[in-house]
Amino acid sequence: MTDTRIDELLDGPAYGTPVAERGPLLLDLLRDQVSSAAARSPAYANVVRHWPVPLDEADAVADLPYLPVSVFKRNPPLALVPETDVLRELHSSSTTGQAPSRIAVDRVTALRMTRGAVQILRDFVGPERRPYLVMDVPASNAATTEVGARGAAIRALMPFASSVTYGLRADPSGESVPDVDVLRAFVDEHGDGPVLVYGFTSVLWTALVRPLAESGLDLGLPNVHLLHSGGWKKLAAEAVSKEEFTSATASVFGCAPDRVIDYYGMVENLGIVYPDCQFGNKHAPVTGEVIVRDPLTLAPVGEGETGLLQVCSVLPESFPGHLLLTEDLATVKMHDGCPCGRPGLAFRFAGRAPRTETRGCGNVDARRPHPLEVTTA
Amino acid sequence: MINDQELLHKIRHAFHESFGTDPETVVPGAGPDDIPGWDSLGHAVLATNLEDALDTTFDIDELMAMEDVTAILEVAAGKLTDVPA
Repeated sequence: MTDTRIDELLDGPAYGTPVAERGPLLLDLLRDQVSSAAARSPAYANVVRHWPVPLDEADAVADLPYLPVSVFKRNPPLALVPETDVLRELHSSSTTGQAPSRIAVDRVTALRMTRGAVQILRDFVGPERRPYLVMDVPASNAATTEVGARGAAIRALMPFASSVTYGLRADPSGESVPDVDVLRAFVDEHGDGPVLVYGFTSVLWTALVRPLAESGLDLGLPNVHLLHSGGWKKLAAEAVSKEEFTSATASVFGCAPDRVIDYYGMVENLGIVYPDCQFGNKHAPVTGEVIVRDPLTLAPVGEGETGLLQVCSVLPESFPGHLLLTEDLATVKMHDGCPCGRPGLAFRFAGRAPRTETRGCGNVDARRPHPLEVTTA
Repeated sequence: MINDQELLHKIRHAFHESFGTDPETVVPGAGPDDIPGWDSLGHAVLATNLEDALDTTFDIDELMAMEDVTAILEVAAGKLTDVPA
């Protein structure tokens, strides 16, 4: 199904639609998406049929039938299209003994995914293409058929790149270390201009920020936008807070702290990422919604409360990922009115829910590559 | 003003520089499935080589619109009126 309403959403600004307008629009779109998915999947239709609120009686997005994200931990993946239409399969990474999620992506979904991520990120970094410094080793993004979480996140920013430089190298023991010559050349050439930097949070910290911060070095990139993602587990183990990470990273790059942007994303919610605004909050774009539910009653929680994060997206066409209850926790800061101006719920990531699998972000198994299919992790 | 054949020739040159592509395979309608190397990474390389070949720059929207050779021709033609042949 191609829906021009989704293309229209993707053509506009990521955060330009007021809540009063976005709610009914999303309800209609998601209701249609659920209905279409149910028509293509008897198992999903069974879920929809038994949902406490009949589809045509839902008054809000929160009433619509949602699935636990663990439903994608099956092989073959839960798909709404024939296998011949599956362009690639996205895998979340998983630790030993744990099952990865498998997401079947067709061409329509892949293109929406890329457009969705770019629509969001341009709101934070601007629409210009600029030199792109990847704070990782080149092998993290090798052009192989399998792309790991780091490679997937690196690729998500490729549309913003006018050139690509890798700032780390592997030393003889295999450790990632700063490639000083490359970094020096990059700073000499682009130091005064706008540049884009991406790094996996733990890699950035371990391989670059911590060692450079200890030596007091400043890379001198004041016009950088530095995006990082990938979780805080390793940093938490070192007792590094988010504030400390941001402050130290800004010092090392020689930029203001608000140019260091953390974002959250997951393969099951592809095409939507949640960067921190300048007030430290995350927001859903026009293509989706976020609901935070009480872990016991599953009712939406109020401001200041923490619960299970449900993500909603109009982007998937090839898998039933429109309404997913994640295993992550979030805290509602306010239902609307964040001073950054982005409408709707303002929330903060609050870690993994207890007694759920420890899970990474994204791992991409590329079957048939397409230029505009990238993944977010 | 550049004509269609000259434009296609420059685009073929950019593909060859990017992926070593046989110029004869770069035809209207051809897409990433038809041209080895043209994936999300290759697209960034291709964009840079197109910019060099056409002496212009593309913004993100133009980059995103370049889904296949036909779209590249359309984007390039819409942007160029005075490219040196």
